[in-house]
Amino acid sequence: MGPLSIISEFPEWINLLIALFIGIGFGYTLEQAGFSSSRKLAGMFYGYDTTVLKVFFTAAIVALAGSQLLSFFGLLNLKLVFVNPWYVNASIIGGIIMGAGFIMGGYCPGTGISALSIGKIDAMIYMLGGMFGAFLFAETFPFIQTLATDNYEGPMRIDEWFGVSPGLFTLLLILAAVALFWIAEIAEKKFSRTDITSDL
Amino acid sequence: MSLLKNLKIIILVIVVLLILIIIRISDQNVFKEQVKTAVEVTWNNSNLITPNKFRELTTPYLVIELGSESNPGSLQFRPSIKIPFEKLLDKESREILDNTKGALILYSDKMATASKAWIILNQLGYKNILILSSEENPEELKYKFQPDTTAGLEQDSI
Amino acid sequence: MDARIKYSVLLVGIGLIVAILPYNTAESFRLKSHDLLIKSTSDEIWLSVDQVARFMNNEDSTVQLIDLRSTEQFRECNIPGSINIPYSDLLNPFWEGTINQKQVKKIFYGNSDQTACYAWIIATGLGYENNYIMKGGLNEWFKIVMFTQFSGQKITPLENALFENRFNARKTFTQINSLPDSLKRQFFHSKRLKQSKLDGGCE
Repeated sequence: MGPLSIISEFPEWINLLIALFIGIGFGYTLEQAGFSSSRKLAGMFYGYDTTVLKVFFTAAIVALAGSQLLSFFGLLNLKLVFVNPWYVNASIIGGIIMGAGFIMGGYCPGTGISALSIGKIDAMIYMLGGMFGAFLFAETFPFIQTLATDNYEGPMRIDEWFGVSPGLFTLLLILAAVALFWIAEIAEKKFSRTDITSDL
Repeated sequence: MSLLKNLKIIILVIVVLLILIIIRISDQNVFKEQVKTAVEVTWNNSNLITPNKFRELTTPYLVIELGSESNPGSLQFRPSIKIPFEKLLDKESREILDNTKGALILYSDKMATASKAWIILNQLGYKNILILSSEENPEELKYKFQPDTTAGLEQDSI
Repeated sequence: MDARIKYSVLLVGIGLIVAILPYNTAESFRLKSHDLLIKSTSDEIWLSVDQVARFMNNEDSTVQLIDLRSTEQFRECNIPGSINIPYSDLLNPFWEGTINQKQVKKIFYGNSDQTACYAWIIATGLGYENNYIMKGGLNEWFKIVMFTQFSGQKITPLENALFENRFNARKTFTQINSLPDSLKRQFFHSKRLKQSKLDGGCE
């Protein structure tokens, strides 16, 4: 029964070790899928490469449907899954800043580290920028505190917000994903660019 | 036809999943109700019935006397049946519960036993279950706390 | 055939199945009914008021008393060291961390056995472990701990220990419950702070 750490009360170091292995697996997969290339990530914004959308959306719906099924068979306790609390203002503003950083740098934080570990210089500069941003946030927090903590809605789930059952919401999201994938493929054809990496 | 052939693995996966789900749903041993429905009914005691109201009942009912095996009930009500709490979910008991028309009225000389049985049956999906309770509100505090007005935080035993 | 179509069919198929699942298991009991029945017939789930009084006197940190009565009743008097989770609020996710842990013995009590039994069976059914009930609730507590007097000629060592325990519990109960609300809250706040530091966690 999951989560694993609840049933067998692992000592802390085993928890950390499991986290390390999951992290290595995640990083390796990101790198192998080509996510350490900023061109691939930026392609999402220009529409010539929508791998990012497909991978992350697929991951989300597989996890969503999988956790529902595991919970149905009594193998996973969904009540123990952490739901991120929702700060409305902070989410919107943070989302815009994150998106801007994403398109300018060509990485999201996870793929940035993935690219850093294979020695990309732009990723190193990107991560330095990220750390500077974190430093700036921490130092100026007292000034932006009201902005960051305003409009607190608590841990909220979209299905509860819509008032539909988690299962129905999963179905809707899957349908939306399939439709989006289809649109993405059309966009890829429309905005296609020659693959410059193959010339290198 | 070729479409089906191409999708046969996919269809197989979905069918296996469906079979597993049907097995799970048909398991009578699994609780299927939402816990919050039990809390909503019990917290204002709307699942209790007093002896007065019980006597005025006109709809069909069956009293279930929940003794223990060593201390069976006295069968003072009619129609009634004795089911020891430990055997509440045995096959024979389930058949009786399933086939009863009208209200199931739980009675036990211990309120605790009837309360536990009520939640278990409610969560298994049985509707129209009541607890026969001699008191209107068993959760009444029969004593009044007398504060000691001379007490202060500084005193030793805090 | 195009792999895209295969994956789409698989995902939509699973989505349809998930959408028609008849009940939301996250909100239902996790134990099977027979296991729950066996657990609930056990005598080990009961603790006597004398045992609870001893826990309270020793300020035992391996137990957590949970008062299921309403906030008003709790304010009027409660067993020192207990926290108030009104029964109607039991399923509030806010209490999840308190109820869903097995390091500390959770002892439920109300004014009698009824509410405590409801709460016990709900907590146990949801798969939480280490739940107990104080037998008889506060009515029993008042009867045994607060109001029994020793009447006899000779006292055995066993009885002596029992009555000393009750007497100490009585004293603490009266003292703490006689404090004004502000001080009471201060007392519990500092206790809870200590507790949350022990627990750690994400937030």
